[in-house]
Parts: sequence; structure tokens; C-alpha cells
Amino acid sequence: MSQQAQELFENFDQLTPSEFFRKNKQMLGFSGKIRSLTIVFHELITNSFDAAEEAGILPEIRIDLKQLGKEHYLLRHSDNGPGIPEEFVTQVYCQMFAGSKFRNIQSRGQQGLGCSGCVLLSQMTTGESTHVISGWKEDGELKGVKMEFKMDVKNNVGDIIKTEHFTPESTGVCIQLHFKEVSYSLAEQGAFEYIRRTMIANPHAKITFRDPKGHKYIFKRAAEIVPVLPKEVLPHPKGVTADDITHIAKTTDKRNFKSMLTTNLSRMSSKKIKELQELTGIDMKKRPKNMTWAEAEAIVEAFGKMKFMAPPTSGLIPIGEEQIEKGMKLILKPEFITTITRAPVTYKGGVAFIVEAGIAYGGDAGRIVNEQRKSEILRFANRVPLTFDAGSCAITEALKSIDWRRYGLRDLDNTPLTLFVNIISTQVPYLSTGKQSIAPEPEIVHEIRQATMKIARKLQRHIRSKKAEKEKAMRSKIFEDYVPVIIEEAASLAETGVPDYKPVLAKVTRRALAELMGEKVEEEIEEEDYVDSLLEELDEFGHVVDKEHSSRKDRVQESDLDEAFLDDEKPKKKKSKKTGQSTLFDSEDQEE
Amino acid sequence: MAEETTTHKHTHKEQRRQYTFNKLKAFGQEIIEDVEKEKVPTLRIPSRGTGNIVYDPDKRYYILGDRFGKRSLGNVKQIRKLGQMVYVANFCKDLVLRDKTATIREMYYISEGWGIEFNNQQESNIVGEDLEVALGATREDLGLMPEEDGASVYGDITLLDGEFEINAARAGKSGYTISPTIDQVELLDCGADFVLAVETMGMFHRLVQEDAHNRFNCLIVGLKGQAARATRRFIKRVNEELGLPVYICNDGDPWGFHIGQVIISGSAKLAHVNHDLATPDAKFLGVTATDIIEYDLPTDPLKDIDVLRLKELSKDPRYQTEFWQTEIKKMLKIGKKAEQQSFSKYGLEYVVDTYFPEKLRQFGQL
Repeated sequence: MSQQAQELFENFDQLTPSEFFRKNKQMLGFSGKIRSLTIVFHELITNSFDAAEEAGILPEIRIDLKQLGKEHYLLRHSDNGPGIPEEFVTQVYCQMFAGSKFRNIQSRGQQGLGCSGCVLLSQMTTGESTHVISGWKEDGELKGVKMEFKMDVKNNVGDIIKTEHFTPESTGVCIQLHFKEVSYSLAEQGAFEYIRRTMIANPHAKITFRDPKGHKYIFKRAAEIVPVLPKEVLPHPKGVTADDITHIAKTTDKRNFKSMLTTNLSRMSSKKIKELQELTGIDMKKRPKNMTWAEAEAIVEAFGKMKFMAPPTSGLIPIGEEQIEKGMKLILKPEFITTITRAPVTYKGGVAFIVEAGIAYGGDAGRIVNEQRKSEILRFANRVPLTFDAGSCAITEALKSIDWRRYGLRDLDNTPLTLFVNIISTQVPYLSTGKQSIAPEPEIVHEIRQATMKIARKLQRHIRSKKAEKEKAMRSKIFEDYVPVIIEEAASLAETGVPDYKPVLAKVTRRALAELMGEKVEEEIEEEDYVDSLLEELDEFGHVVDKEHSSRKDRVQESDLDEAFLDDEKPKKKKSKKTGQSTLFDSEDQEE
Repeated sequence: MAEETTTHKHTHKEQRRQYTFNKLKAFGQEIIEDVEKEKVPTLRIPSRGTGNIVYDPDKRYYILGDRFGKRSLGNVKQIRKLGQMVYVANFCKDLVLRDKTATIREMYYISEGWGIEFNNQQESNIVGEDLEVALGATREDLGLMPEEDGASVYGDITLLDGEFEINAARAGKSGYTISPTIDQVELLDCGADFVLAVETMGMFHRLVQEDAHNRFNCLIVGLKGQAARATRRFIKRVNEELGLPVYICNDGDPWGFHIGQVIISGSAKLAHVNHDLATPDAKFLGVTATDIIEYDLPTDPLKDIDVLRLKELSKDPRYQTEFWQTEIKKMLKIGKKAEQQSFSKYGLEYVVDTYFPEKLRQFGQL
């Protein structure tokens, strides 16, 4: 999106960034009091993570948020990264749209205007200057600087008020900013939730956060490995736009279209250049500097019709199943957890992406709404939590389209469940400028569904076995509760004493549990060849059923169903004769 | 003297009571014996599912087939039912012993104090039926009474209902009301030659007013539509114990036919007690399709549902006689039905003066 912003500014270079920002505040992320503060947290945390990881350091961040007045906050954010050398401090914090070039790399990315955006918001809402303390290593020596500055928005540079050198104990940056017209909230979109979610996707980090009420939250590190740095990969022909091609043409040092395209795009062989030339009729020996928009469009159109190998996926670095599990375990303390990192696939034929998913069930999973735990969806793109615009997001769409009842969740909304989905890609197709929701590209939605359904089956197995466990306990209890009362009542019915029923109780309990475990119980076989006389036939009181006349044959003919009993006929008659009297219980075949 | 009569003539009732009591007690003994032998008590109960209800052409009523359900102490799903049966049996044993009755609803409320209570009345109904089937005793035997009263009887029959001797010809114009506890009633004396059962109370009162009980020397029974269990039990007892032939006169439509047929052959739903309820020798007197034609009765056209019902009946095993097949075909052919009270077209007295004597003569009764 910063690309778009830059393009806009190229057309409107009379407008100062400040003026543009004021007019387009909501468009650039800082809209709404809660959201503005969340975006500030995002920019600062992301910056710290990126810096630390690039330096191979496990990130550790301290955030201190003090409330000075109504909607007036003082934010202090410090990290243990490599620090920023003095001459770059104002460039990082005061220069808008600095150093953005065409890079096809997996990155957390800005959601607004980066760190300088935060400084600008602070200055706009409070007029206060910004304090930065930075410690860095230079030629093996630790150096430090404390600076106070304001942003000169007209000239897009820093205006230093005070500089003080010192020798720090370690590297890192600490920034202190004032904000008004923002609000700290525990809501789903608030800053606290942002940190919580960040920690789930970044288990290698540690964040200590002191909230405006003075409560200190320590989010511990769950994994001790610094993530592998994503490598820049050449964009795939199917993933570029006419605008990208023009941009490459303007900045390249290659002398002709052919070498420009082969060096800047992946999967571009000489054979493909030939094919492209045939399709477009454009001479590939032309100089890039002279490329027209129409030519760029024709090239992109031709790319759409051509066949290419899938893009390289080496540039994609997922969090990994194990790491996600660690992060979720630490934060959610779930009863059950399952995660998955899928193999890379592509959308739009040329943009590689990886879907990672996790399900945490029970424990602290889910969100408490009105004192009841409900399910929650945690959306991430390149490890960054997406907290707004959930409704239009591919992740939401995919998860809602799953028939959760098939996985044993009859009421998903009211289940203590956290659904985690992270999309890793060099080009995440965001739906809006706020970068808060992912476009529902069919391949992405499909992949999210596949990943989630696969782990949902594991959850289903867990829920099932838990149910079986419960059932087991319940069964034992039923027997322990009922057998004594039934036998006492039967004794009273029989007008005798209560016999020792412990052996029978032990027997039924054992048998029921065996049955539960899916073992075949002898009793069931007995059922097959069980035979007994009709109880009706035993009535001897003038309502006797005449055995000879009850002609069983006729009835058998009447109903096909009864045919099944034909085989049982002989033993049945034998037995009823043998027992003769009313046999209420199958005392004979029970134990034989 | 009353005392003497009681002890002397109670044999039927006492015998039946003693028998039921022993059965209930034996039910408990079976369980205890199994437990003593370290066996898991398991009870087999004839299934009452539709697949297990079969018409017995020899007995001429519905009976239960050979299929069984199981109530085992060793099965999680069955143990509750078995337990409830034991409690119900004990409850019934007490009823029988004390010569009392209770409705199932009353038992349902009493069950709240039991070790295994009922979740709803449906459950208590089923367990009550289970016990009936398992012991081969009717719920009346067990002291569990249906809620509704039976029909009215008028005529010369003397009954001992509790301490009271009642003659059904001196019990008011509406006659004697058959109590749900009819099995505890002794039949003391009877001067009538047969039973004439009619569907409506309108016809009952017409018969009483026209002095039919004296003129035909019969008992008049007003069925009040579909006959209650007690009514059917009464008719069966009068038929079997006193040897009185039974004639039924209902409306001339499929519904009237079937009210008669349930008295004769029993219902499918109560297959397990039909041996106590069905009166296979009872005769359907009218109103037949033939009557409609021969007496030129005022009619209504058959409705679709009537036609449908008639076709169902023609396939029913209980209607497989020549008489029924002919009548059903005839009614379908004329497409008309008539109420039993439509004879009043010829004057109020006509039905007693002409119709009944003619019909009864056909059956050789007069």
C-alpha cells in the first residue's frame, strides 16, 4: 500500500505529507481512537521485531503506557535490538516514505505510515516533541545518544532540539511519545489484544507491558529460536502488474527488455521471452527507459495467457507448527492444541503463499463474553495480527464455511475455542488500505479450509475420547448408584434379605466398560441364539394361550420379518418345554 | 349375610389377586436368585413395536410376536428401566395387597421418592406396560387404573361393586357406569339373555325409553364412541363368564365398523392384553351397507377420508371374512353412510319396534 501512497504523492507533490495525512487519516490506518493506538503499537512492535531479527537477536520489548489525562497518553517503548546510529535516528522517525523500493519479500509490513507516522500522530495531537534513546555498536564499541526532536513536516526531515551522548550498557532503542485523541481498550480491537495476538504468532519474543492502571503483564518467551530471515525472491510473472513492470523499467540498469525481465522476474527463460515477443509483438531488444504504459499492459496481459513454472517458495518462512503450538500453549493454556503448516501453493497462478492454522480448545482459549467463553478467530498475515475488518476477510469466510458440526462442535460460537490462521506470502492480497483483511482469493480460501479441516479432525478425536472418558466415569457411576437400590428393592419385592451383590456389580461394571472400549461382549452373542417361550403363553388363568392353536407357521407367513426367527424355532420349543414355567430371566444361557 | 356373600363369591377376584401377587413376588425372587448365583439379572420382554404385533387368525385377535426386548442390570441404557420396573412392581404388589388402585399419574408423582424416578409420564407409561407384558398381567390386575370411566350398562344384571350390590336396571336412567376397576367387580346375577351394545348414548336412551331391555330381555351397553378398556373388559367378562352373546350396533360408516371390530378382535396397540379384552364371538349387527339399502336410510355421501379408511379396513386381517368384505365393497359402491339414529326417519319407535327385532331374528337371537 505504501507503493500506492507513493504513487499518489508523485501526482500530488504540492500537497505536504501533513496536509495529506490530515485529509486521509482514516485511509492510512489512524481512524478511531482505539484503532489509532493499536496501529501505533503495531508499527513500533513490528519495527523492533524486524530490527532484532535482522541482527539475530531474540526480541525483547518493554512497553509502558501512562494515562496523563482524558484521552492523553504517554507511551514509552523500548527494545533490545541493534539500535539506530545517531545519523539515522531522524531518518527512521521523521522521514515519511523513506527507502521504499520494489521488493518482493515476505515482511510484516506497515499498516499505516510506519514509525514516522506515529511521530506525526503524536505531534499532530499534542504538539509535543519526541524523545529517543538509542544504543548501538560501532567498531565493537557501544555508543549511545539521547535525542529530542520534532518533525518538520513541510520538508519531511527531523528538527533536532537536543542531543546528548552517553555510553549505554546494551544496544536497543527507546522511544517516548505523547498521544491525544486515542484510547486504550481491552476490546478485541484494542492495544492489549494486539499484544496478546502478536505473542501467539511470535513466540520467540518477550514483551513486558505496563497498562495505564499500572498493571504489569509479562508475556514470556515460548521459543528460543530467532526466526530465519525471509529472503527476497524475484516476483513471478503472474504476480506482477503493469505498474510493477513500469517501475522496474524505470529503475533497472539493464539495457533491453529481455535482460530486464529475466533478471527481475522468476521463471523467465529465453524461451519464455521469445514466446512473449510473439504474443505481444513487442521487440524485446528495446530499451527499458523507453517502455510505454501500453507495452507494460500488453506484457502483463501476455503473462496471463502464458504457462510458467510455479514460483519459487524459498522466500517464504512460516512460523512452523511447533512454534505456533508453543505460542498458543503459553498464552492460551489450552486443554488441547493442534497446529499445521501447509506446503506452499499459489494463488492467481503466480503468487506463492503458505497457510498455517492452529486450534486451541479449552483452558484459556476463546474470548470471555458476558462471563461465557466463546470461540474466537485470530487472523494473521506474515505473523502480524489482523484485528479489524474481520467480516470481509478470506480467513473469516473460510472458517465460517466449514460445517463444524461434522467435527463434533455443535455450537461453534459458544465453544471455548481459538482458531488461528496465518497467511505467509511475499504479496498478501489485502482488501483495503488498512491491511486488515485478506482478499478471498479462491485458492486462499480453499487452502485455509483444507488446513483447518485437517486439524479439526484431530480436535474431533480429542473431544470424542474425552466424551468416552466421561461416559466411562458416568457408566461406572450409574451402576454404583443403581445396582444397590434395585437389588434392595427387588429383595423387598421378593420379601427376602438383600444378597451380596458385589460380584454382580463388579461384573456389570467391567462388562459395560469393555463394551465401551469396543470389545465384543459375550452377552451379545448370546442374544443371537437366545430363545424363550412367549410370556403370554404362560398365563394360566382362563386367558391361557393355547399353544397348539397359536400356529406359529401362519404368522411367519404373514410377515417376512418373522422369517428370520425360523431358525430359532427348534431350540425355542425345546427350551420352553424344559423350563416349563414362567422364565423371566435367561438363567440358563447366561453363564453356560 | 353380606359378609357371607362376600367371602363366598369373591373367588374370581381373590384368585386373580393372589395370582398377580405371586407373579410380582416371583419377579423379585428371580432377580435375587440371579444375584445370589452371581449372574447378571436380565429380563426379556416381548417387543411391542409394530413389527412384532401379529394377528392370530385362530385366536381372532392381535397378539405379540416372538421378538423380545431386553432389560438387563448390566446395560447402561436398560438398568434404569429395569430398576423402575422393580419399583413399579413393588408399588403394585402393595396395591394388590391392600386392594387399592392408583392411576399411572398418581404413581408418577409417588415415584419422586423412589431410588430411580421417572423423568416424565411417558416413561412411567412405558414401564407400566413393560410390567404388564413381562408378567402377562393387565394393568387392572396390577391395580394401575386408566383415567377414564367405561360405558353405561342398563338391564337386569346384579353386580357387587365394593360393598354395594347394584342392579343395573335400578341404577337410574343412565344405568350403571362401568368403573375402571371392573375386574374387582363380581358378577352376582343376571336375568338377561344377551348384550346389545350401541355406539351412541342417544341410541342407549332411545332403547331404555322404548323398554328394549324388557322387550328383548337384554343388557343395553352405551359405548360412548371407541370403547374404553373397562368397557371391553366388561363385555368380555359378560360374554365369557355369563355366556351372553354380544351384538354391536354402531353408525354405518368405517369408524362405526371399527369401534365394533376393536371390541371383537382387539386393537393392535394393546396386543399384549388382547387376551383379556377381545371378545371374538361378539357380532356386528349394524348398521351395515345392506341395512342402508334395505331400510332406505337417510344418508350422507362418503368423504375422501371415509373411502380411504374403508380401503384400509378391507386389507386389515380382522376384516378378512366374507361378511366384512361384502359390506365394505357395498358401502364403497353406494358411496353412502348412515348414522344409527337415522332410523328415526320412520318414527322414534321404529328402531326398537322393527329394526332390532328383524336383525336379532337374523342372528337367531329372538
